[in-house]
Amino acid sequence: MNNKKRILIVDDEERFTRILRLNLGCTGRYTVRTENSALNACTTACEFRPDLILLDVMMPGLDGGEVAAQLRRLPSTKDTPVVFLTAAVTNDEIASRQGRIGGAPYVAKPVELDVLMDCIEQNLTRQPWAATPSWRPPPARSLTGLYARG
Amino acid sequence: MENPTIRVLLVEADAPFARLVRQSLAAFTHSRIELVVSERLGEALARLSGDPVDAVLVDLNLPDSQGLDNFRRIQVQAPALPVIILAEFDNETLALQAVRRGAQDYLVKSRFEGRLLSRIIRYAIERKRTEEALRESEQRYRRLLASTTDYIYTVVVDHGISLPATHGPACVTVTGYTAEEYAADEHLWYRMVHPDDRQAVTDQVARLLAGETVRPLEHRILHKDGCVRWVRNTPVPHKDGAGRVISYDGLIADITERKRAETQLLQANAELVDANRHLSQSEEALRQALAELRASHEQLKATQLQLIRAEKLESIGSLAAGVAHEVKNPLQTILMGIAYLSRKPRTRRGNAAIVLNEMRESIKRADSIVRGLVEFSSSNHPDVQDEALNEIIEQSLALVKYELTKQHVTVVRELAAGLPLLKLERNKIQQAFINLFLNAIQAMPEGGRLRVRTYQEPRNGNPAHHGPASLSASANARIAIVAEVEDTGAGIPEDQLPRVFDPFFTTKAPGVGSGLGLPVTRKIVELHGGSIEVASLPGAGARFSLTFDPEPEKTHE
Repeated sequence: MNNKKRILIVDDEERFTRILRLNLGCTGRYTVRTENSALNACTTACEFRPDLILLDVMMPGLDGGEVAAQLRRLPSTKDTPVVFLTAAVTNDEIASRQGRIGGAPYVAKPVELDVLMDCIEQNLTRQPWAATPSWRPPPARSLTGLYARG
Repeated sequence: MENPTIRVLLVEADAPFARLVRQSLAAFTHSRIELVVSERLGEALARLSGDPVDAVLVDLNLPDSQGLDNFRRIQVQAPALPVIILAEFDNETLALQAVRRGAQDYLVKSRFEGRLLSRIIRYAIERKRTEEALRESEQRYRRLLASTTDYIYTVVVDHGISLPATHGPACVTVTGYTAEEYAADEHLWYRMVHPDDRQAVTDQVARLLAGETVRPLEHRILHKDGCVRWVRNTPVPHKDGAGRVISYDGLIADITERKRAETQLLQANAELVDANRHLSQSEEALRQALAELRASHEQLKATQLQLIRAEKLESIGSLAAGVAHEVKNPLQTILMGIAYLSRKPRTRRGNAAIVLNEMRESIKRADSIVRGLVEFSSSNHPDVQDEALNEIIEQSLALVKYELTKQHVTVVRELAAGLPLLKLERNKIQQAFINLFLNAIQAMPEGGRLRVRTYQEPRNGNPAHHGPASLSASANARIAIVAEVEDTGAGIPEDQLPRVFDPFFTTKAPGVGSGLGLPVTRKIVELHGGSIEVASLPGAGARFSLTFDPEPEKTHE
């Protein structure tokens, strides 16, 4: 029996999905599938039956919010946890909203692999669409620390 | 001496009589009388207009005109000519009527006598000339009278009492009353004086009678026609051997026009003064308006600049957001690539590990620059809540604890208790302080002291040294909350001070710092309605002062 968690990555950045799949795959803990078209996201999800979906927000054709709404309407995916992964917001913005925007957990790009995996692990165990107060994105200081006297 | 020839026009239809007249005049006159005859009045009138004569003899019985009408028409045609009327009958009434109307004489043809006629003609001519001269003289006199504005009156004084005055004829021109009217009414002159000026006039007379030298008096009179006129009364006394005034002559001159001109002049002058005052007032108002206009213009210019800046920021903001998104995705891919490579046994140590770490740090740096750009160009208003400034400072210090320890920087806190709460977005203000702290730490590579101080002060004043409790809630509106971040580093050269808040201005080595830390900090402070200032002395460190307006009636416990 395969105990690996199934992770679906929906992102239009092919290079990113490929390398992330490699990273997650080589941990031996996940079975990963990637989908680079937002329009096909739901079909792929129904077919793959993931335990968690990493969902990009800004994608051509259909944005991540729409995809998430569709997933919630499908019986086979309505309970699947979704983690948004996006470059459109900053860690500060996410942190100021306790890691959630519009009730959903968010991770801001660029994110370190270990941080992302922490997030995945936490959200795998939670009830879908429920708050996850224990999880917080990394503090802003890791990046602002690089600011210098201007 | 030879008498000049006299030309006489005889208007007579009776030819034999005309001949008789001609013969008689030729026989009985010493002087030459040249007779021209017209048989009809129309012809005579026509002749008169082109042929000058000295006298006219006209029969009352003419074919084209009868009676005194003959005379009248000649008189109209030539008013200066002496006219002698010839009649068939002696009619006393008609004769008198003719003479009253200006005829020189009235002769009955039956009593005609040559010698008499000659004399009558010459006398008539002479009389007419005298009449004309008199008339001319009278007219000249009237013209003079009409134009004169002065007259003389004389008052005889009998034992100190003035007798009724005699007024010169020109008094009618000035006063409207004739000399006879004054003579008939001895109080007329007094009534004529304007009631308001009567006292002055009688005073003048009294002083005159007392033997004093009096100055001319200007006063008003009531003209007979009812209007008020101004006169100048100049009395000249005549004295007897004992020095008593026996009479005095007075010259009354009409000065109404002069007075009117004077009044107009005074009025014009007053108006001028008034206008002048108005002008200077208007000038002042104009100056004020101009100053206000200038101020508005300056304000407008400033607003315009702000608008342009805001617009620019907005477009830069959306551009930056777009760029950030596009740059962050590849950064993410590289970061994931580094993570993948870092797991391989061959790259876990040695140079490969160092290279991967440098790459990781470079990605973070690129990300921080992109993020700084977005923050700097964003004009989003902060999502504020009541926050305690000191708490935010403590949290920010905790977040840079690692850097402080690593660089051997000690922290000196001088945080005033009981500061009013401020409307702040915690994360943004934290970011601003973290930027300032890291900035200070980087300015002290050899270690040093980071002094963080908060206090409240009167707006535009010095720090309030008395306890915060003594400040009433209502006074909060007039105070400011200040936070100072001070280092003991090398300081900032004076010429670079104005530029430290400019984006991408940096004094650090290439690759260190994004050049956006201070601009972002200022942006954050300004979005909160605060201000930031920097002060520095080379070699003595730098001090950044953040000033915020407190929310009135709220105090942190």
